[in-house]
Amino acid sequence: MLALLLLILVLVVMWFTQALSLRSVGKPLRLRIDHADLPRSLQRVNRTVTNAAFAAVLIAYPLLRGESPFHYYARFFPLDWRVFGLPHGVAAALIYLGLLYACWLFTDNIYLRSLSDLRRLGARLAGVPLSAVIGAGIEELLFRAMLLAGLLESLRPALGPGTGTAVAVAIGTVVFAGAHYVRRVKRHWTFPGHLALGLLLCVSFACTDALWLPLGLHGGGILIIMGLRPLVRYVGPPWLVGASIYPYAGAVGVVGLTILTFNMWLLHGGG
Amino acid sequence: MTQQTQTALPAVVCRPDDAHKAALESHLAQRGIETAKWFTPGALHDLDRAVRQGRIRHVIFAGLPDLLQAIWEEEIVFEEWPADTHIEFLDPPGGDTVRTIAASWATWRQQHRRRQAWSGLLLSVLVLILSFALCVYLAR
Repeated sequence: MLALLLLILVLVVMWFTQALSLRSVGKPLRLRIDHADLPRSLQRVNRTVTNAAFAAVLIAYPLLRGESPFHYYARFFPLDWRVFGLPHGVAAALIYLGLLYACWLFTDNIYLRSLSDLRRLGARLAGVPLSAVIGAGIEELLFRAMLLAGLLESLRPALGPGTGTAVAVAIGTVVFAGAHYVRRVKRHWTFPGHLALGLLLCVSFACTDALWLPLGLHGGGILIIMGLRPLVRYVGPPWLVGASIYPYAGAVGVVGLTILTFNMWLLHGGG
Repeated sequence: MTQQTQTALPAVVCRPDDAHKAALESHLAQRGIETAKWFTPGALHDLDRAVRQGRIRHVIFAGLPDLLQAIWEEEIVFEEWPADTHIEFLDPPGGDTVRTIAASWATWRQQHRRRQAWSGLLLSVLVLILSFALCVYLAR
């Protein structure tokens, strides 16, 4: 519960920073976190404060439990058979998404963009692996190593291993999906996709009690989605191919994530 | 679309159950054309080949949308038809040809998108089954 409280605290910090920013430019306060109408410099300030709040929470959580941050997070990177969860996760994400992209390309539901500026494309693609590591790393530390691990720790003894795990995974999934909609977003219909993604990552963590597998799945997904983003244009219906950076948000993506979840559960925990 | 005397057998594009069939027959009779080669839309590759080889030089369509549909479906490669091919419409396009072309394109694109979506869905299901099997196999 401490982890959940700290995540809520981040929301409070985000809202107060926005409130101060709005007041400084003479705009009325609002409940919704939305930086779109703030000057660019203030948007940058808000982003920096948010990132700093997340970092502070990641450090504060183990300290509040009386542990050093290094020792706390190191336990989720055990150097045993579970290390293979990382390449396994990356490979599974690449297989599922790669084959889906191939069949959508084959059936003209996505088009390849014409490549006019190869230097710019190269620069964008070069940054993708780092984005995958940072994006997946931070989210996994926050939502799995901190939130879900905390929930599992308190709910497993209270409700029993089976029910405790199921409830913790359910809460972890909903909080992970909901966190993507705290700020103003372009589309809300992608929510089931985020729920399915959250379920996959939470189940992968709960099955292994380690971050390797969810990190591999998450990083592999970001790698292929962001790597293909400058190359493809989605022309098929959103219910089939999703949209923009959310190919998993269409019906096929949600079903695919559910099958992949079952796949991981079968291979790493329940099978 | 030149108007000139044609010596080869004219071609008529019409569905067997088309409401225009009787009108087309009467149109041919009025023009004194006793024999014509009939093609159904959706099977125009033979017509296309015959026109490109110069065996047919006069083609009669019920309307402009029928010709456009054949072009969108790539059943005929219109740009390779000889320039002196005489194309005639039973129902000639009125003043707003651009609107007719746009409407035909929109209708075709909608049908095409639907076909793409269904084929994409079918292939996606197969791909997900394959992915599942591949992941299980590779993890053994």
